[in-house]
Amino acid sequence: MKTYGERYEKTALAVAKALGFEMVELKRWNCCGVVFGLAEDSVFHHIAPARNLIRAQEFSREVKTKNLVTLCSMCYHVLKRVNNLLKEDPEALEKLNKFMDDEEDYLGEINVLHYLTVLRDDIGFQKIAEKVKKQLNGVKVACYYGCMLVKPRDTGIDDPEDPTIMDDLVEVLGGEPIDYPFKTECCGAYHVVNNAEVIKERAIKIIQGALNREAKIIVTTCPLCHYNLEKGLEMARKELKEKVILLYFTELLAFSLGLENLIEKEIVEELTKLVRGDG
Amino acid sequence: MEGVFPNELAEKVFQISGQNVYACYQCGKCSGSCPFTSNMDLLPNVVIHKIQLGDESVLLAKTPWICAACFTCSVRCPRDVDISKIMEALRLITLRRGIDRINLRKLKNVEELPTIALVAASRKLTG
Amino acid sequence: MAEEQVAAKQPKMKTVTIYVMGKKYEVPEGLTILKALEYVGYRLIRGVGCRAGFCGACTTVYRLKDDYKLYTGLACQTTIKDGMYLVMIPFVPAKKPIYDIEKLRPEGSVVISIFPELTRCVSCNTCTKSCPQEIQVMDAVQEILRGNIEKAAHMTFDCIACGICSMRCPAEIVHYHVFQLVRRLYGKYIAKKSKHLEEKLKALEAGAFKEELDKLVTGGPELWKKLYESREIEK
Repeated sequence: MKTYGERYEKTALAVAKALGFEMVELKRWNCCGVVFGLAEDSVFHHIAPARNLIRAQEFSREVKTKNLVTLCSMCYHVLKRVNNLLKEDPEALEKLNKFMDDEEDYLGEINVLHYLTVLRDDIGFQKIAEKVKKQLNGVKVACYYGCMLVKPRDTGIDDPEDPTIMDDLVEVLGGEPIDYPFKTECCGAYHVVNNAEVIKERAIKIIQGALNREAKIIVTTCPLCHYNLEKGLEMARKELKEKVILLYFTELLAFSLGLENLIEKEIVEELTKLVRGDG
Repeated sequence: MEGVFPNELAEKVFQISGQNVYACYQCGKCSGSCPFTSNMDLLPNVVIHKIQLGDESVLLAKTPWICAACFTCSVRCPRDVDISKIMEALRLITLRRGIDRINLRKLKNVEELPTIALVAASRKLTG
Repeated sequence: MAEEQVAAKQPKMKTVTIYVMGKKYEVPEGLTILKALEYVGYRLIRGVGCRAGFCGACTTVYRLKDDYKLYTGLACQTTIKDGMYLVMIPFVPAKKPIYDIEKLRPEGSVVISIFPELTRCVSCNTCTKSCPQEIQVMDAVQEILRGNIEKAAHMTFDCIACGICSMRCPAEIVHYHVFQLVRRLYGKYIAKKSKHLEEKLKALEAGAFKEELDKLVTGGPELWKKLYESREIEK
């Protein structure tokens, strides 16, 4: 969020302010580890996210809320799953608390939320509709959910096969969310590091699927998905002939709420053209 | 569940992943759902079958390393087998022997890659 | 008689038991590990330096009686305890990384490209717990991952490169090399430049102090002695 995902954080914070809710950055956080450790015989990979939950616990006394909101899908997934594990498995909790003897014990009282559910449940999409300054005028938007936000079922924020939360948000902004086949199909995740061809294949599938239904914008909730789709677009210039704008959903929100100064000029220009109907 | 599994590999996989490979009845839904099968040498359901049979050559297959842990298979399995966890167990058997899948120092374009991608790769492909 | 009186007056020396590389010794209590090693007869030519807690040479790893934990510290700064079971680590291996500071940018991605193992950090905090200088090592690594070169440089200012953190790190990060790069990047690219230093250097190169310097260089020991003894600080 501080380097590649800067745009995401910037717009999310500004949108939060505009909608009247306050988000304060967690103090002294550490990297959550991005992926959830799937081994059941080891808590080693849960140390990093558990430490963040302890930080949240410490901070909750200062900011008087136990709600930890995340932007990135990967962070949401890891923190939510570890939190659930620590709430359900007292042995794992004890092991981690004992290992992290330099920290206070985690009591399991933090709630991990994703920004989208805060918008839907705490703010309400209707309230957002009221604050929209620039209607999207039916511009076709493909919402790319990816994996971590909606899978597995007990931690996902929406149905893993047919989620609609982002689509509903786009509708409220006046856009037309299009249904396309690969909206929850994996972008390739960490394969971008050593197997970039996989990313190209995934991007072609996902983006072509959206382009076939005339999408002009693709919105994501994850900096890794964003990077992979962007990289895939770059690598597949020959195969993907039509242009499409890749945005974080908070940037689209920011644009709609009249906060264009936080978005790159070229993107604002293109969005404006699309909304006017000459994109 | 010690001594319940007919072969060591299935037992080891259970120890690490908590998943009983014998619950799988080879419907193939996981393989049908997996977005990465075109890059794999063995289909996911074939991997499970090999574990059922105790075939350790599965540890040398590309498949567990192509798996992106996207959970699509796990969500759809009609027997509630968490295939993602089984793939992770196979990866960990190798990684815990000190054999990393990638050498971080030999990667190209490290400077361009966002930290999130590098951390994810470090977690899944190095031990 | 006099001898007995003298002997009775001297208090009996209190000793503690320590184990050096498995061998048991009785040493006077209150000594530092370094002094204790020399007391029992070790002559240290490696793994010893300033003896003042600042050079990082005397890294020691030890265990205490009835305690499962592995402790680390500097031999010159740590007092021995009864039952201490210790070994010296005179050197933590890590080949010096080669980079051209002129070609680098003060960004996190640059540091990560030279030390990609930084992304293996699992926030276990073993490094912080090992640090004899009380640096928040894990937090500094996390700041680098976030791209905060300046903050990491300030946080690691006290690092003496003793290597204890790197020995224990499960991700095999060599913290002191990483931090050195970060401080170099900070010093070269981020820290404010001192104008007066640059001006003085220019003046020097232009020959402003040539006469005085020449006099000094050719003056000889008599002149040097005179100048040394008549410094302000001596008066």
